[in-house]
Amino acid sequence: MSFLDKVDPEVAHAIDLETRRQAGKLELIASENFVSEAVLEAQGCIMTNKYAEGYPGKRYYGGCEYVDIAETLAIERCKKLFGAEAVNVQPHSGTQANMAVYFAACAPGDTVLGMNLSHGGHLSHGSPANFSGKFYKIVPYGVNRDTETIDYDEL
Amino acid sequence: MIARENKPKMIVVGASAYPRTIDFEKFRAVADEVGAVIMADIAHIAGLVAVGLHPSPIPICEYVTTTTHKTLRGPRGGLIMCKEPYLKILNSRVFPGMQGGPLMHVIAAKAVALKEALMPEFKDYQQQIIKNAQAMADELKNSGFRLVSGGTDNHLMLVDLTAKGVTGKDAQEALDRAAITVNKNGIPFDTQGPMVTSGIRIGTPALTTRGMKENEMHLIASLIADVINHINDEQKIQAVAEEVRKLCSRFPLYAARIKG
Repeated sequence: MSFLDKVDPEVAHAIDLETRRQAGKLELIASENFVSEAVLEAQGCIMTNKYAEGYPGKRYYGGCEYVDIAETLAIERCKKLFGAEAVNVQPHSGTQANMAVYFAACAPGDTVLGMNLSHGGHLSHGSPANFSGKFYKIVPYGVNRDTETIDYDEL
Repeated sequence: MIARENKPKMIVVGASAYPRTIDFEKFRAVADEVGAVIMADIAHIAGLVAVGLHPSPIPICEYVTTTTHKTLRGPRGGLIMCKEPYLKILNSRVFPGMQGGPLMHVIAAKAVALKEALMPEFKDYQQQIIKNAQAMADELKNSGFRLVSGGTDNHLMLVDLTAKGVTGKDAQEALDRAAITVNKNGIPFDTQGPMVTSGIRIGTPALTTRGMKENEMHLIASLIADVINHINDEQKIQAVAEEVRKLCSRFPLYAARIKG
């Protein structure tokens, strides 16, 4: 019996059902995938305990020397994989990553062009329901009615 | 035209339901003309970009964002790539700008996933994702479905169900009863609202990870067609669910984690 089974059988049961769902159904959601056991092991590790505000080598808390190793590896591998000059691996999600760029590149009220959600864009590309549509003046672009591909001429 | 008229500070390029190759160079030309920066959001196609199967925006865009859990096959999360001169301000916008302590366990898992993505097998995986999407798209078209833009260049396709007289919502629910998980999705110029929609979005990254190839995609496409063509026939739907169970048992997933 695992620690989780013993401490919290209700959550353990939900996880068991979800594992069976992933294994027993055909997952065709385009934005989903199945990570490796190695990724799961790292994600379930004790680094969840560590506060590390700041960046490798420049943290606000002590005791960050080992989490610095992990973050530096993530940054260097990302640079190598994509040929990127500089990388930040801290955003909790894709929308958070986008929000940081809006904050870096624009002031509130600035004009931003983004792909129409209903033509295939994303909420964080200027949907009125999202921060991006509320803080910025969004001008949407979309696809051509005949080809259904991005209308580059309209840009 | 839109750009020249509105003089944007930033142009956001990227999509969550676009089955075709994105021409970042064209966006660059427009951005340069009006003095805008570009944020390319490659969340969906990051794995394809990483191995060179989709043109990369990284050399030509100021900022590139992605999630780490889609085609990149890492833990749920995000990351940002940028040109060196932009890093200092970008870092300050992430922390302390909008986040506190980073999720170090997730960052450790991102490092592991990025190592996996640097291995040669990752390119084979990405190639198979595209081959599987092509096979799925071909079979769906042969079964009489219309695909938005006529097909796919990447890992996903949008199926327009208008001619079948079935909504995206009803298709999603029926497919779910057949143990096939898709999401309803608006199609361009959709006449249905976002909670109903006229389409479904189908992607191959997850099943490709399970080891499925073109033959399985042909079979799955025919099962999808069976369900949608007999959407009120519960017996038919349960027969498809049985086929799905057989198929899944041939491609085990997380077997060591399943109890009993």
